[in-house]
Order: sequence, then structure tokens, then C-alpha cells
Amino acid sequence: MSEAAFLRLEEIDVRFRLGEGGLLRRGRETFTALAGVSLTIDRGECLGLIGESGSGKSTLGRVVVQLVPPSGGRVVFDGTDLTALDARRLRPYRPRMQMVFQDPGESLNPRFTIGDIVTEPLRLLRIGTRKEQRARAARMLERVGLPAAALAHRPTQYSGGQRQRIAIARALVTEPELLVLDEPTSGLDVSMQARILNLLRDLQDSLGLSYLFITHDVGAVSYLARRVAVLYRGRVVEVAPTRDLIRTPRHPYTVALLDALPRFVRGESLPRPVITEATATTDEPPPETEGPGCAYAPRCPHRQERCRVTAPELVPAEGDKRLLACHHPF
Amino acid sequence: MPASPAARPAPTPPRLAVEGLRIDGRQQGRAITVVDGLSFELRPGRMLALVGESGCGKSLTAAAILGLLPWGFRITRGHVLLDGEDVLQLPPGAWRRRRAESMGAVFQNPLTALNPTLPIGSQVVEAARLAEQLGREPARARAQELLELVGVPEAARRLDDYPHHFSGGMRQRVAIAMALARNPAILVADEPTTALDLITQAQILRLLNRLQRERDLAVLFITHDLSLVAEYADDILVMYAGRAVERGEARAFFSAPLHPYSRALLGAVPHPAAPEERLTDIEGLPPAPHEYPPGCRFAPRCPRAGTVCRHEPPPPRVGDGSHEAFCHHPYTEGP
Repeated sequence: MSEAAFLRLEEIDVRFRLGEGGLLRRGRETFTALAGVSLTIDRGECLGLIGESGSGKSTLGRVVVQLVPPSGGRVVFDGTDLTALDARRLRPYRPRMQMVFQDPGESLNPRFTIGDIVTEPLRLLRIGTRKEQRARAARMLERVGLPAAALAHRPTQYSGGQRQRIAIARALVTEPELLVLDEPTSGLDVSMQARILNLLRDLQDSLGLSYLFITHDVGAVSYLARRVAVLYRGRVVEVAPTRDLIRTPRHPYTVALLDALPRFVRGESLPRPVITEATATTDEPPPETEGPGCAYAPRCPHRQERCRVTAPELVPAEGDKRLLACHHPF
Repeated sequence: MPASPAARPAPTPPRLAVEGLRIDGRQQGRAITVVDGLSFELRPGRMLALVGESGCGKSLTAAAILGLLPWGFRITRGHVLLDGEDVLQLPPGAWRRRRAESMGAVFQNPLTALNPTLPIGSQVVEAARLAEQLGREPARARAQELLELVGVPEAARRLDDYPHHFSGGMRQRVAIAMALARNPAILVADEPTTALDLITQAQILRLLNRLQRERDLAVLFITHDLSLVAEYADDILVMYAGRAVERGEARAFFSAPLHPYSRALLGAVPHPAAPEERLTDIEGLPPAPHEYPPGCRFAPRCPRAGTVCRHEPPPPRVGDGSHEAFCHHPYTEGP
């Protein structure tokens, strides 16, 4: 982990209070969405973040762009700790990082014109005159492959894939250096997914953008990211170059995840099943209440006594190539 | 067009044969044909995957077989043969009984099959009692047996739990248990894992494969995901804009897809083993039912399309008996 990383997340914790609605139970229980997450992204790098629903991957994306304040830890962006800044001093950093949300049907206001939608970040951040804002929006639409004439239309006139382009244009309009992409292709048809992935790859090449690419799709992550982090229940369990992670996954959870992948995607040369229909991890809540040990231990085929007692730290393995949080990896 | 059994070896007769199916409906006041000239067969112990992108008519096809077409849609041509009997000729009540006896179904959202206000045990029990005239205790035992069959852990204890106590994957298992309660010969699974996480998806599909083998089930698997077809299905039928574009044995299909649309779809799936290969871009969008072009419906987006493609519907079959495409200019060599 380089000290000079463009984005450095240090020991991020996020706890949500449960039962806010109940008068008596208010704030007593908390849910830990993220626990001690540390990651880095270099300038111009795409870091993939994979995990299943509820793993905390979207929350982490929101922490990066300062939509969710972390309960603990620091977000160091280009040398500055953003979590230490108040809203006024944070303002200059906002245009430099933007987010593309999962469902373009939900995240684009159907009552706004596309011009309103794409210029909105500029209006909120008071960048440029109205005329300059429109001109920039038109440029961004063309950049993502839509005609400038679309500015006057409404998003409902466009297909899912086109709406995701509009969302990408909106994210690009402030000329950011870092984009958080939260499942940008899920819910789209295969051919649309391919076009969005190609677009994101081209944009990264031509603009030198850094991406945090959040997805549950291992194929998509391999297409954009050279390095991948695996999140399980709010904890990073493994970080490795994509190729190494897919060929030789070492954390038992990563192994289970890749074993679930159809061979057609994974490729024939990759490791063969270790998990069967009956023994595989399920999406049921874990059979035991969470103890001090490893969060994956209740399901792990490799677990030993130590796994229940001590939580493994994320430490370098294979030199500096990989980070692994496991007492008994593959 | 009718399937020709002579063209390919048929070790077992199909449980279900669909011949020349056409489905008409109305959309925004316009009469539209959403499925046209579709033929396929479901055989015992095999899984047929019906693949296509949204709007291609795959789910309506499943709904038509199950007698669940939405209001305003109906079968206007073709035959649905259940064990050789044309069920479309039967009076509605008789067809309904035949369906109930011989077909089970699971859908994308298992909550559509489950009543949130009843314990799951009583729902599976109800399905089991419809199947056989069972008393209370034997029905409960049968429900437990069904839940064990689909891999619900501690089935006996969980009979009294409600649907919201179960995770998405477990709910889908319960829905499968209910679909199997009457021992159907055919199981229709319409995007059964689309809402599930990767590991859960693999578990559910491995479960379906096991049931298919153990119970000699004929499975119709509706999906948009070709990688799942490659892993789990025996046969494939690719649909585009309401028509079949390619069909046959999955193995033959994946080793040398013939139709340009099939190739484009395969090229659009990222492969971790070869991340540097650029994904195939299919220009444009699939047409809506009221604007289907004459000739081949893929022609406006097809890199190989010639004049004949724009005017004449593609010939019914090219290729050998195990694998065929509906195309004027199919690929002939491997990818």
C-alpha cells in the first residue's frame, strides 16, 4: 500500500443505528456495515470491489464520495483527509469525485429534462454560467455517445442503457478525477452491459480517470479492474491483482464465490469446484451469533478453533502482491 | 413450423412439444404479435434454456404454456402437445387440470408464490394435499419431505416459520418444493435466480439439475444469461424479437454458434481469462413488436446482412440436426 496513493481509505467503520422508530429502543442497537476497511486507489487505476448484497460495498462507495459519514477512520483524497473537513472546506473537493448509481431508472428524476439532470452538479456546486453549464453538458452527452439534442428530452424517452449513459454524463460534467461506479451495469441486458463497459473503459483511457468499480459481477470486474478487493460482511477479506484472484483465490469466501461462477465465464483453466449444492455458503444469516472471531468462520470449510476466537487481520501475502485476512487460507 | 422428429434422433418422446406457437396481444391500443412460429420440445431429464434479452417474448412463451398469459394476450396459432395430446383443443377446465397435474412453475420472485401471512409449512402442506387426498399428519410429513428434498436445513423445525423468516435463496427453495408437490413431469423456471446472489444462484441451479436427474424432470429454464445456459442446460433456444434465431444442443451451440445474433451475445459477455478482448457492441436496439421489420428481424443490426435478409424471412433451418439457425448468412466455422 503506497503512502502516496490518490485515494486512501484508512480503517473505515460505519455503524448504523437500528430501531430509530421505537421510542424506547431508540439507538440502542447498531448494525456494523463496515469494519476497519482499508484500501487504496492510485491515480488512473480502477479498483474492483466485489461482494454480495449486504456486504457493505455500496456503503463504502458512499463513504468515498462523502455521502455517508464514517463512524471511524479517514478518507484521504490526494493527500487531504476529507473526514476532517467541514462542508465549506469540503466543497472544492466535491467536483473532483462523482458517483454513478445502480439503477438509472430510479436515479434520474423523470420530471427533469436531461439538460437539467446533467447540469445539476454544476448548479449545485455553482460552477460556470448557465450557458457554460449547457455547453459542458452537451459535450459530455456527446462523449458518452448521445446527441446534444437530448438535452431537451426527458429520461423516460430513453432505454435503460441510454439512461445509464446520461447518468455517466452527469457524473463526468464536473470533470472529476475519481468515479465511484455502483453496479453501473446491473439490470441491463447483456448487449447494453457490454456497451456500458466498453464506454467506461474508453473514458478511463482517454480521461485518465480513477474508478472504484462496485459490482457483484466477476466478469465485469475483470474487464475493467486490474486489482480487486473482496468484501464479506463489511470486512475486506482479500485484495489481489484480478488475474491472480481469479486463478488462485485464497480466502475460502473468494473460493466459494469463484466456484459459483459458470465455467463459461471463469474459463476452463481455473480451479474446479470445492463446494457443492448442499455444502456451499448460503445467504441465510449465519447459524451462530457473531463472536470475536472471523465473520466467515460459521460457514468456512477451513475453520479451526482459532478462527472463532480471533478475527484475522488483513495482512500482506506473497510479498506485496496480495492482502489476505485468513488464518487458514487455500 | 412443425418440428421434424426425423431430423434428429429422439431417444425418448417429448413430454411437451410446442409447434408453431403464435401469441397475439394489444399494446397501447395496437394489435401486436409478440411470439411467432416458435417450436421446441421438452424431454424428460433434460433442461431446455430459452434465452433472449428483455422483450424477446421468452417469458410470454412460458406463461402461454402455463396458461398464465396476461389479460389481452392469447395463443392464436400453433399446438401445445402434452404427452402427445393437443391441450389447446381441450375445454378450459380440462386443460387446467392437465396443467396442474403435469407442470410446476417457479418465478423470479419467490414471494409471488408464497402467502406472507401463513407459515410455509401450511403452504407446502396445501400444495401436497391438492396432490393426494392426505390427512393432516401425513400431509405435514410430506411437506417436510419436500423441504428436505430441496435442501432446506432443519425442515421439521422450519415448517412453522413464515416466508419473511427465510432468505431469498431459501424462499426460492420453498417455492420449488411447492412446485414439485404434485410430482409434475415438467418444471418451468422463469428467471429463478435473477434476484439472487452469485453463490445462492449456483446452489439453486445445481439443485434444479439434481432434481432434473433424480426425478427425470423436463425443465424449461427461462434466462437472459448465456453463461448459466452453458453451465446448466442441455438444450438451448435463442430468441430475438419474438422468433427463434437458433436452437439445438447447448454443447453444439457453444462450440460453434451459427447465428450472428448468437455470436454477438456471446461476444458481449466478459471473460476473466481474456480481459483484454474488447466486448462486442451490437449497434442499435431490438425493435418493438409494432415495428418488426419484414425479412429477418435482426437484419437492421446484423454485420452480415444482405439484401435478401431485409426482404425475406430467414429459411427455417441450416446446419446439422443437433443444432440449427434461422439465418440467410450463418457462420459456418467455429468462433
